[in-house]
Amino acid sequence: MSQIQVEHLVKEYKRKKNPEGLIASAKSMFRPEIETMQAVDNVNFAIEKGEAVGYVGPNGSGKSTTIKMLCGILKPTTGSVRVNGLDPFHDRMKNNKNIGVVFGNRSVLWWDVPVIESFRLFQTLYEIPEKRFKENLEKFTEIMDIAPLLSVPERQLSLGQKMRCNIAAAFLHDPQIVYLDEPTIGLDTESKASIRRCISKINEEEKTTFIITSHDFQDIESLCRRIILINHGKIVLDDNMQSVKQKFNQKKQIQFEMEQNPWHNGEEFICQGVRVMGTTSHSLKLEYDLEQTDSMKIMTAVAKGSEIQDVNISGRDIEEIIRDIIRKDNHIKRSSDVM
Amino acid sequence: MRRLLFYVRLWKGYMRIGFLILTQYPADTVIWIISMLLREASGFLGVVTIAAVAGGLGNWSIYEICLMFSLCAIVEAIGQAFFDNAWGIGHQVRMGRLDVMLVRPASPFIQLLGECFHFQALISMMVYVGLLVFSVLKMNLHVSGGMLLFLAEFLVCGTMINSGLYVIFNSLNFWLVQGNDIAVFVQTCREFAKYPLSVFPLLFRQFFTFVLPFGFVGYYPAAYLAGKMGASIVWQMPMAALCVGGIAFTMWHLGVGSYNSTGT
Ligand SMILES: Nc1ncnc2c1ncn2[C@@H]1O[C@H](COP(=O)(O)OP(=O)(O)OP(=O)(O)O)[C@@H](O)[C@H]1O
Ligand SMILES: [Mg+2]
Repeated sequence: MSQIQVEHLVKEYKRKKNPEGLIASAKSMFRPEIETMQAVDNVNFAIEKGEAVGYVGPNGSGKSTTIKMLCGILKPTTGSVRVNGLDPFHDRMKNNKNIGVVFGNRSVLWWDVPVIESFRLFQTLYEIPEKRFKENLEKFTEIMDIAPLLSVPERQLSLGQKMRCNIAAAFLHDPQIVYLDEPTIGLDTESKASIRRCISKINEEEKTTFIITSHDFQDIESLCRRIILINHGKIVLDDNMQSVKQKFNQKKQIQFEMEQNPWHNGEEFICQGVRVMGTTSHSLKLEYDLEQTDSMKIMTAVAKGSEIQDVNISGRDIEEIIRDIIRKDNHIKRSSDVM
Repeated sequence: MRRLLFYVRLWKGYMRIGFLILTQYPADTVIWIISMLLREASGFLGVVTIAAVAGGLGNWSIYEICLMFSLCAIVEAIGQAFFDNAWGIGHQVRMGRLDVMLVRPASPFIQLLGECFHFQALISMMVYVGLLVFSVLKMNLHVSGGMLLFLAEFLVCGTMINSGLYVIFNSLNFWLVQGNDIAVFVQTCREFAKYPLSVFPLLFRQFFTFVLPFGFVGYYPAAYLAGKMGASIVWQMPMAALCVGGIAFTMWHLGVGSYNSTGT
């Protein structure tokens, strides 16, 4: 059985409809109109031990809601979650021993006391043996580079420093699974890179399972081998990162710089599977379909007409691919709504 | 048993943090003590003035009223020292701070209480203990082992009733947006418990016995000590404490079950 098993998971939020006008407001105090909205809508997936999964989707698509159900904060409306065979909502205490959680916008540390005091309390909370605690503390202070921050109260730390301390805190008790909800929000590139390095390292060495949500696709790309895409509470895509790129990256762009462009204001460049995107007197920009042709063939064809000075090939990165998929999904949804 | 030891250790850990916070803001501590003493005393002075002018209230002498007041205030001070974050439930729920407590392997209720201590209240408690001793001496009560035992029982049950009621009404915040108003209203009702309930109509007395049993945090135990009431209070008080505790426990759990966090 998989470590995390999610079946037909649904979460509905009830919201009071916001009435317009004073009289309607007064009326709604007594008989509020309630609308339900499905934040997570029939989600299924299974995650094996040691996987690193990127859970992505646009704002309000239900990522945080799913994570909260996975770690037992919210009760699913229907459907089931199993983590190590336990129901995280009903066996919360037991499950909590094995998980670490990082909320990008919610600190788990105590505001007024030095960070090390918070860590000490975690030692008591998670019943970490002294020796293990010392080792982990040393290890993660080094990885996260927070040694000088340990004696500073949290309220005097910057956003990124706070985040790094929070991430270290999530690992002190050797969790089997770590949920990271936007862990790199507000960090500078150097901190982001060090956090990514650290997470990959832990994932490899300790076989810790990771579920990461982020709007920074570099995070996802460098950390996760698998990507789950959610839109309007429904899973749109659940696949290997590599195969997503291959499947959805059939088109690439190639740009040539040359002495003299013979296809500018002259006859058109024609080659199978290639579309001209732009020409100037010194450059030519093409888009080609990987299934029909390859870059060598095109270069040979171009070289016949002119001397090439520079070539630049670019594929769409994962971010663009995802954006495209979401756009298509929204389109399908809207047109089916109309019908 | 192991679990109990765990919570004892955890509680110590939280107290340590509470103490560190206290030392960070020394000026606040002084202001807090003064304001709390004033808050309790203001209600008290009214009663005492009336009693002093009228030579007592009903068949209650001024020292008996002092005794009742001190019992009432001691229990409140203990609540403020250790269980004051019951008043933070509304804030924690609205800000989604409960998320953090719910992912840790310890009772979220204990964690909630551990977030906030007012050790200063123990200092104001000393004042009330002094008042208690003073009134006992003035009333010429015989201090026996039985009486001390009763006082110990009162401390436990009284605190449970007093703080338990706060937990019950603050837990309304799980469902209501302005649940705090109701809790504050309940606390205002508690002012009546500083008067000898016998001067009020029967309906009032029943209300403070069966609905909001604040009678047990001052009036009944004081009446027993003053010899105005039989010994039935000795078992009635724990009954009331268990009822309030049970309801508070249920309310809290229902609340956590329906907790919906906030968007993040
Ligand atoms: N506590 C709540 N009460 C009511 N509605 C909520 C609550 N939390 C979230 N929602 C709604 O549920 C939907 C999903 O929210 P969620 O926080 O899961 O989004 P998300 O994918 O994490 O978005 P983001 O990328 O912006 O963090 C949103 O439409 C939001 O308005
Ligand atoms: Mg989110």
